Amino acid sequence: MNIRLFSYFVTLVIKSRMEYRGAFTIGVVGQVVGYAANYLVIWLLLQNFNTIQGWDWTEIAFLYSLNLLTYAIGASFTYTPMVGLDQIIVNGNFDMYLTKPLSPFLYFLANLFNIGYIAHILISSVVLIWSISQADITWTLYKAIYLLLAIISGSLLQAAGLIVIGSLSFIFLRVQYLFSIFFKLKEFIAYPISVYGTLLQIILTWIIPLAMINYYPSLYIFEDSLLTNKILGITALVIGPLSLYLAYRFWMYGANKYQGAGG
Amino acid sequence: MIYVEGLSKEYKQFNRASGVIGTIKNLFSREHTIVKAVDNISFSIEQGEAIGYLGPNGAGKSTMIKMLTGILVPTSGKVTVNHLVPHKSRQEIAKRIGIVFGQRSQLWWDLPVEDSFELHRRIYNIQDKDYQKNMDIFLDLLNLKEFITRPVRQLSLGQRMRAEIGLALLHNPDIVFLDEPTIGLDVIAKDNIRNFIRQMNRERKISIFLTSHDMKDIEEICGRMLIVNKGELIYDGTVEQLKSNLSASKIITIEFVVDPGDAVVLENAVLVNDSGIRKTFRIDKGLDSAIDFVQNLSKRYPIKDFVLQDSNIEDIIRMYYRSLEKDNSTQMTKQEKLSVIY
Amino acid sequence: MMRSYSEITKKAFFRNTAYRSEVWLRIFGNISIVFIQVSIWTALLGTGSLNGINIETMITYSLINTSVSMILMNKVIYVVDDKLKTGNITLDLLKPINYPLLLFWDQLGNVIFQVIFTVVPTILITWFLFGLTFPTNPYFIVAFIISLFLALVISFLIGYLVALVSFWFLTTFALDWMVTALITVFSGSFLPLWFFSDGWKFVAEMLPFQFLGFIPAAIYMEKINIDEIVWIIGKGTMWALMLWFVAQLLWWRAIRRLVIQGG
Repeated sequence: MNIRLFSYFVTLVIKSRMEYRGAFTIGVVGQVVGYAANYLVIWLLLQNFNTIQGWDWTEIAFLYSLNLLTYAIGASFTYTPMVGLDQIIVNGNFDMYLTKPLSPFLYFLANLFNIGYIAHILISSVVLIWSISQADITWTLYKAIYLLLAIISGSLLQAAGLIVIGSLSFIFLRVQYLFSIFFKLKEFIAYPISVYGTLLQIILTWIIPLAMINYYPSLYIFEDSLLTNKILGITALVIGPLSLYLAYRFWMYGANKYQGAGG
Repeated sequence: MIYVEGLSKEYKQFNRASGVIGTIKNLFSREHTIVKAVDNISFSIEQGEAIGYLGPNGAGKSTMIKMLTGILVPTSGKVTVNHLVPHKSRQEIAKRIGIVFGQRSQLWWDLPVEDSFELHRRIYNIQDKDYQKNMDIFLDLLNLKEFITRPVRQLSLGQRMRAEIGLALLHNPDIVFLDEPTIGLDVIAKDNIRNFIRQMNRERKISIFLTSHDMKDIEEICGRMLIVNKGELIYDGTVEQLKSNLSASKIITIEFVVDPGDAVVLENAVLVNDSGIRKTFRIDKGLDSAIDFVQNLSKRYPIKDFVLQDSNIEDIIRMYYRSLEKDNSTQMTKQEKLSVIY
Repeated sequence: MMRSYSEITKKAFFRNTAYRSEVWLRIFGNISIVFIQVSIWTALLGTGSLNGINIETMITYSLINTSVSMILMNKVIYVVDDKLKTGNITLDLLKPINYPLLLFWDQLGNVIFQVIFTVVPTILITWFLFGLTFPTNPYFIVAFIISLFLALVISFLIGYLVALVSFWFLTTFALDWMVTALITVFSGSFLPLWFFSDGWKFVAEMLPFQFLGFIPAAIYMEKINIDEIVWIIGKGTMWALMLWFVAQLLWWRAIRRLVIQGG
């Protein structure tokens, strides 16, 4: 599947959603309000304490927005297909994705692309841009490119998480609850991970590398002086594509299992 | 163009134990039954042939279609379509085949029908002139023009199915798989669809592989039929041949005064349905023997009434299945129970 | 009559047992939330205190607030919504039982299940991990139990009310997002109302959401003046009555509309 075909799918998705324009608009408003509440809580908190482990409000807002923005981008492509996969398999609708001269993976993602994340993208990028303008950062072209790459890599990593859990639908009957676990785990990176103990920091860096989504990129952009953090900031750019590739392989393994190859 | 030899597909079916102890047991071990959905089936289909694939629910019809289209990988046996192994060259084969699942839609629910066609054009990379040519024909023959600009959710079932079939044929496939294409439709819609499929088969030499519950679909479209039951192929031949074979046999339903029990064993007759004092028999030797049969029987058991049925093909096939089921129920050879510990 | 209600509750309870394999995951999710909050508060407060609040207080607060959030009934919105849209509600209306009461007892079955299989284990484990303080004054214990009941009733009524409103807007999902946002901020989940600036505190006290977490936790921790408790519980009761009244009003209008539309 090439990009032109994929974007035609996206066009059809948008056209479908616009058939219910009213509901869509209220939905966008609802989600913006929902996330505004989360920002508000952090803001209220920092009214009392000024900083969390040396991170002030604008920096936390940046950290939080980077997480939300990359999630929204990744989830646009993967949330709806992956969360629905177990039911799609049970209802026998997965067969449809194996009848076209297309990669079942890309066809599945394209067909169930979700434009609803526009609300998340809206609020997170507004806050992100605001926090960039407020925070004390010296901008260079190099840094701007870094931020762009970090957003892409983070989005791929978030997508990879959803894909891995979705792939389990090929093995187990119900995986819905694993998604809520994933979202609970993601709560850990709403704040700088330096508030946690060393063990948890290691887990969040190396085992479930959620800190690569926003923590290390933020440190890199805020020019943290520690060399290891600089290295991890660069590593973060690689982790996203790598984990997406592994997640893709896992999904394809599951799809093969579904087809009854060797199992 | 399709070649199938010794093809089988087995599924594992997990048995869930109930109750508290059962639930705990389920966590550690799960009993499963191996179900043979397709059992050692062989046949081949030439280009331009129209095949009716017939069988009761659970006979493995959909499984066969899924193996032929590469959706499922066979457990054993050989299968090629256009000289390619479907599950290995799935995408390659997908370009050359069309599929219609009667119970699942490929159309975009909220969008005009034409958008789904445009998407299909892009997916299959159909040349503009081929696309235009096919659209002209379909708009007319399938009467798509009366609803092509309407959202799918506003269409009747018959209109939707016409659109689905047009979609499946848009890229000039060599073979079309139709799984229950007329299910739930009214007589006129069924007729329209049958005529269209037949025409495509005759004029374009497109092979047809059709499964249906409706015998009329198969009689009108297909020259040849394959009948399967419990995964096994039990008939392969022309529709006419099956009819002439079966027309020699008669179905007699006899109402006795007193239930004679299972003891009624007679030469020349097979008991196909038994509901106490009312029993149905199949006699394989034409009308004379049917009358003899009733006379013989009435000497031994008092008979209240009897009905001699003509050999309606649909009834006969149904009876045929039923008699097969009776044979199988005594010998459960096909299912084996295994217990697996994880 | 009482017997048939308890039957409904029992049925709902056993319906939940189908999901008992997910109980562990849910406990894990809860402990994660408490753990994150405790980590943040440790980072913020260290060994000191702010406005008389120290880390021990915040550990207990986090645990009680998270536990109370587990028994809220505002998700009843999806039950009503589903029934209104499918028209299945007519089946319920035929039963010789007051409909919202039926729903409440049904939800109570879910809550009892949650308490036994999620809340109690969560409390035991976090008590073991972080420590926990208990109220000693029996007066507060009684008030705490009453406040829990108020949390149940008010959350139920809010969910029920929103479901009825969504009957006109036909978009439950967006309204649920907004309600969740309000609960996030004003129930004091994560950030107790003690830390709100005056303006925000005023807003919080004007809204019913503080009864869905903050009030029970504050009473439990004996952080409310003994002579204020009666007044606060009275206020909560007034909220419950008012919401009930509005819900009844909307209910009759919705039914009338349903009857006119012919289901």
